Amino acid sequence: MNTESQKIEQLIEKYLNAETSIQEEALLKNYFTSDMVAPHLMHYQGMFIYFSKNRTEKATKSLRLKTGNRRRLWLSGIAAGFALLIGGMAVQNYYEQKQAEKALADTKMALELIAKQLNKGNKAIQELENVEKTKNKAFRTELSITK
Amino acid sequence: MQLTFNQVTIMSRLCNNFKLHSSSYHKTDQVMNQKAFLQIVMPFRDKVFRLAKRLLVSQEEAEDATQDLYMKLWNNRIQLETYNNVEAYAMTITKNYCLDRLKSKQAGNLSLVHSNFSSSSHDLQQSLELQDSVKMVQDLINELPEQQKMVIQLRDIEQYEYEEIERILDMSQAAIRTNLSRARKTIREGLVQKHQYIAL
Repeated sequence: MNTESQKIEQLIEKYLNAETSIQEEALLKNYFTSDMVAPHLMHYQGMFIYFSKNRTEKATKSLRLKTGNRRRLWLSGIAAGFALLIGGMAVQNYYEQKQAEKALADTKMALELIAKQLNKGNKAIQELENVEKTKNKAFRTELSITK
Repeated sequence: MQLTFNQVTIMSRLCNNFKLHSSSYHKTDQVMNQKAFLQIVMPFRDKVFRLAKRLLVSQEEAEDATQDLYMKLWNNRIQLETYNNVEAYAMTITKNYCLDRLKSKQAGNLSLVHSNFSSSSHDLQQSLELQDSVKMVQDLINELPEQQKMVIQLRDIEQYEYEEIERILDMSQAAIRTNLSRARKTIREGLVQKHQYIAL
């Protein structure tokens, strides 16, 4: 008994100088967590009991490993954004094309209208020409009469 | 302007197909790796947590730190296979992470929350005096400088060999022993003083 506490005292000296091995420290831990601690060494007890208690403390929250998912979400987000962009461009293209077609049709119609009017004008000019011709004829006959 | 509407829809459909294909590939790859990953990293999860709690003190922050650190490990899982000692690596990044947190906290003038010491786990058979001195050890360690906290944690609680602590803390063995000796003596002093105070 006495020799044991002497041995422990020596170990404690080594321990405080950080010269003990893991095995020797385990011996100390065993001694101080038992009920056989010598009264003059009692004040070391709290230390070793704290260490062995703390060693059993566990994390309580469950781990989440969602990085993979998050990265996938990222990727699909980018892909979706891309698709949206292309889709938007397509819609715009389509719209522009439709508008161009409409403008073309409008222009065509306008041109046709102009053409029609022009034709009308042509007819009128032809009629005028006819009038001129007959007038000339008439004048010429008149002239020949006076001669 | 040159692309017709149809061409564009076909293109985006192709893109979608590719997206689906790549994501399903990713999924199987992830499932296969996750199991192996957890087998490697779970055995020392509580050690990571306890070191984080030793440095950050608060239970909540230690839990968050553990979560962040495991995310970090998970993101580096490809490199993890090249490390011969993943546990030492994990403990090193835990140390760095927590010291960074403490530094930014000091810079931000935030105070530590000294709250979460649970004494509920104490045996009823232990005398009130012993319970007090166990709690006192906790407070004494909290007062120690970071280096000493870490060596106490790694040696006296986690029981690492000196070679492992050298690797984790990137310190010489002599420096580790000096810090450890100082820390142990400080705790002893505190307990002796308390003991004398009670004896008086």
